[in-house]
Amino acid sequence: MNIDLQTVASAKAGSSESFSLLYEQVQDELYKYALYTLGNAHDAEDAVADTFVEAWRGISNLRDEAAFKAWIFRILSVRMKRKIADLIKRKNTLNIEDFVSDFTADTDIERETSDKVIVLGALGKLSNQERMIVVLSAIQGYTTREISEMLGCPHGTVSSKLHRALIKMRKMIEMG
Amino acid sequence: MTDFYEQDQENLNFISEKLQQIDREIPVPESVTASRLIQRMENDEKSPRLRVVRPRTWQRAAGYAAAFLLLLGGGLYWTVIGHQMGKQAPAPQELMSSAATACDSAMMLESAPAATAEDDPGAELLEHIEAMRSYYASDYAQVRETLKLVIDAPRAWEPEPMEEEVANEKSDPMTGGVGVDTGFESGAANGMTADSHPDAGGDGERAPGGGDVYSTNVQTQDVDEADIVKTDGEYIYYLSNQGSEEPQISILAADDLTLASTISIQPDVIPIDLFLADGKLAVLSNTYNFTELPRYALYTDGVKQVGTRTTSAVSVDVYDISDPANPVNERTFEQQGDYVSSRLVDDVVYLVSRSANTCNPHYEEYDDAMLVPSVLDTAVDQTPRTMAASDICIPAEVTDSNYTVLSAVRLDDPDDSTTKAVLGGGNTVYMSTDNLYVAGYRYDGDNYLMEAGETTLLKFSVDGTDIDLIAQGSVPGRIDGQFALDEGETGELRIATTTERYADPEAARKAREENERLREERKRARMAAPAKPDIEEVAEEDIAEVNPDTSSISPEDDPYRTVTDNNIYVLDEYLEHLGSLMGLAPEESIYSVRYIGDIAYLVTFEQVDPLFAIDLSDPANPVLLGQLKVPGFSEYLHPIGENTLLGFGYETAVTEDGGVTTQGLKLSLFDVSDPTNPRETEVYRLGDQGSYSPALYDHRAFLHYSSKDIIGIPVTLYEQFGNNSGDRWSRNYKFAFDGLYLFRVTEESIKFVGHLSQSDGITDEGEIYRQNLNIRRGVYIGDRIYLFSDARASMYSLDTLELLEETDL
Repeated sequence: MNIDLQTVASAKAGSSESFSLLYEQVQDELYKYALYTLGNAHDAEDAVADTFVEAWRGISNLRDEAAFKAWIFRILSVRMKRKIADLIKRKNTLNIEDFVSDFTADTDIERETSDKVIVLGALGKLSNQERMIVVLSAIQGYTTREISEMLGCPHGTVSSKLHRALIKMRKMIEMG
Repeated sequence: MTDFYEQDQENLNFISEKLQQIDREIPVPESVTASRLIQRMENDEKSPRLRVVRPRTWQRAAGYAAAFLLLLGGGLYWTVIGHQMGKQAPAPQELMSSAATACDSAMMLESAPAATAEDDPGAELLEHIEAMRSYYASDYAQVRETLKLVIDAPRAWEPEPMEEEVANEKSDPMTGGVGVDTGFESGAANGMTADSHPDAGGDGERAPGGGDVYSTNVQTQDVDEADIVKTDGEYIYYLSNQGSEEPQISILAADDLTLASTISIQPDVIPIDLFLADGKLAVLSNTYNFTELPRYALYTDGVKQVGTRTTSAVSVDVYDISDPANPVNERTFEQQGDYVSSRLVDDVVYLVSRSANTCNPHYEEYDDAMLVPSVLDTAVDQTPRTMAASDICIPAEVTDSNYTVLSAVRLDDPDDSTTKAVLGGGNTVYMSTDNLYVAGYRYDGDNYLMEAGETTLLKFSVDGTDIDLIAQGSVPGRIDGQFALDEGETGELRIATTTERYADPEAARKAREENERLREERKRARMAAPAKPDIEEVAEEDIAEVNPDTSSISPEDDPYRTVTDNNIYVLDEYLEHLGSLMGLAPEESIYSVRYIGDIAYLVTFEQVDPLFAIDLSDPANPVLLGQLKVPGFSEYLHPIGENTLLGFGYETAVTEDGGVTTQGLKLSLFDVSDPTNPRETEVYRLGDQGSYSPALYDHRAFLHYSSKDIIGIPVTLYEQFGNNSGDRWSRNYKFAFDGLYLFRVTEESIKFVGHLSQSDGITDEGEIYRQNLNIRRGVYIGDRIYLFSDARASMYSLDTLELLEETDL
């Protein structure tokens, strides 16, 4: 659904209800994006909470109302970049439990979830930036141009990183 | 190429499909719902925001700009603090804030009859300074907290710690800077402001012999700017090979160019420029290894030290030159950071540097002292001393974790110096006789989503060694160096900027909405897809439009295309908006600016050079008076007498394919006796394509011997030879001359007088370059002209142009 410009205008004017409405439309996507990038629910929740606050404080500065989504994703991207940059050594894997709701040992489900484990493992082996780009492109469907706006990264860089990341992931998944 | 793309699409679909399955099932916790987050926000005890950002934003949407112009045209007057009251008509909402501020201030003044600005402007200024004093840090903890906030704020773009450019020089294509200038704030050099007197700077004092003595061509009369050559009429002080491996400072007797002495330069010191004042020579340099700081990083098991780093500093080495044959280094003053700019008034040097903060304030392992700049004055201390918190200013709007450090150093009194630092600042300095402005450029990385950048301003009042921060402000757009700023008679600040906006904001908005819509569709399509089709079965048509790449759109059709606009803003003495004129010469950029009295002359360029004259006598209501279009453009404007401007720049020609190229250099005389009708009265062309002059980008290289009406310009000229007809590829250019061109310029005419060179007879430009004989500066003393290259100083008679003396350096 498209962001309703009226709601944005009302949020800018200071209505926390309108802001909440806006946020709810992007809430799931924001959280999941943070989860893929940071790898665990706890960090993702923190990042999203901080983003919420910053967006709320800064929404009066948003000049182009139609750009709300890209804008709030931008805030989240920047927050996450900083968090990642702070840590030199970081366990660059994804915490499976936060991704899969019922991790049982049933045979069929086991097969399926082990498939998911492989995919998540492959995703986890990408660098944080590659992961962000793949998630935004392959799951949330942004164009490389939009991604370059969100990440503040040159368009060419996004395209080439996406290209390489997709090849990498595919290899890893196919090899199991 | 097609295979590449298709392969990508295949991979994308393959991975997409797998990830979608996972994505669909990710549990989203309750804790990230809006209601919970609001609660969390309210419960959180964050440190209070230190300052509220005051609404200083300017709407740039076309609709608002038009409305604003109309309002101005309709003759509304803003309330100017302390001046007449005007009508307060309903203004567009975004202007309400400054109107409200002006209104409040006016009301405040009215209710305090003893202290209205008209009665006592000093009192109001003092009040303001007192108010600004509250912005100084109370302790180091406050500085640390502020730095944390700045660093944590979500910004896509980090301001880089300043690199070592010679600041205040226009971006110079010869030295690898950005091409012909579109308004980078570190570019500077052109134009001069003449306050109310059209003939500014360059005049020189009377030498003992009765003739005139050279002084640097400066922006503000009586405010000297540092340069590589200085003279008092008896001796000439020259810094050669600046920026190279072996710089040298030579002290030469003016009479016969004998070398009285040289000053040796330490390793690790890079001299930049000189000042001369009453028996003291001040050498400004960048130095390294100023202080050493530890470096920490965060590991999974805590914060650890990973080595050290050194900081850099700008130093002023003060030499006593009462005996020029024996200069004595009596004092060194150093402040942390990289050199931005400097000024000299009487015997006080004002030094501005930019000090990068590279210590993460979150790490308590860094001492408070490491977060703050240091200063060393050898007249007082042995080792660098950290600045006191009470000298660190945290302005209302902090977006930058780097400092601007400003010192006032009295050259002959070691007990008299002041240093202040501000979080923020910039690379461009303009100084009027009483105030020093630091301008920076702030660019919100969301260029596509929001407005492009703005020029930030800090204003310090300056009185001897008393420095006070008075105001902070900003205007949209970039400035073309120090000459874009000018202080008018009543203390208002005029500033010319170039802004960028969407060519078609509607198209940009529509494109964005369309992309959003397509995105949703793609997402829906993927979610609804049946499980696991074989890769080979994916239909051709599904691959095609899944992820359209917009990079192949041609520029004209690009909905996100931006265009430039040029504007003049007038701010009051507290940097609040007074008036403006926006939207001049759309799609062009400012190439030079010159303020003469209350008229601003602006040169913009795209294919022809319009020279605009703008009346600023009513600060609230700048009015476009007239414009003139001529081919070519001026990079530098210089006033001649009361009614004439001399423009120095390039001739241009339109090429066969519709582009524009520069040709040779050009001097133009503009009659501006009637500013509503500026006229080009005379033109002198020098050289052809490939010709160059340092005076194009550095106003200090421009020589004006006003009492003799002599203009001197160092040039390197190329001339066309061979086939003149046919297409441009068959024309050839060869090097023709390097040296100083001299003209006699009056309000009526430009007359070529002669040219002087140190490389007569050498036809290979490469050879001249290798021997370092390119002329950098011309200097005059009485009836002598001096030429300075990096290898040699030479002296000529101004009357006969014959060589009298020369000295190799």
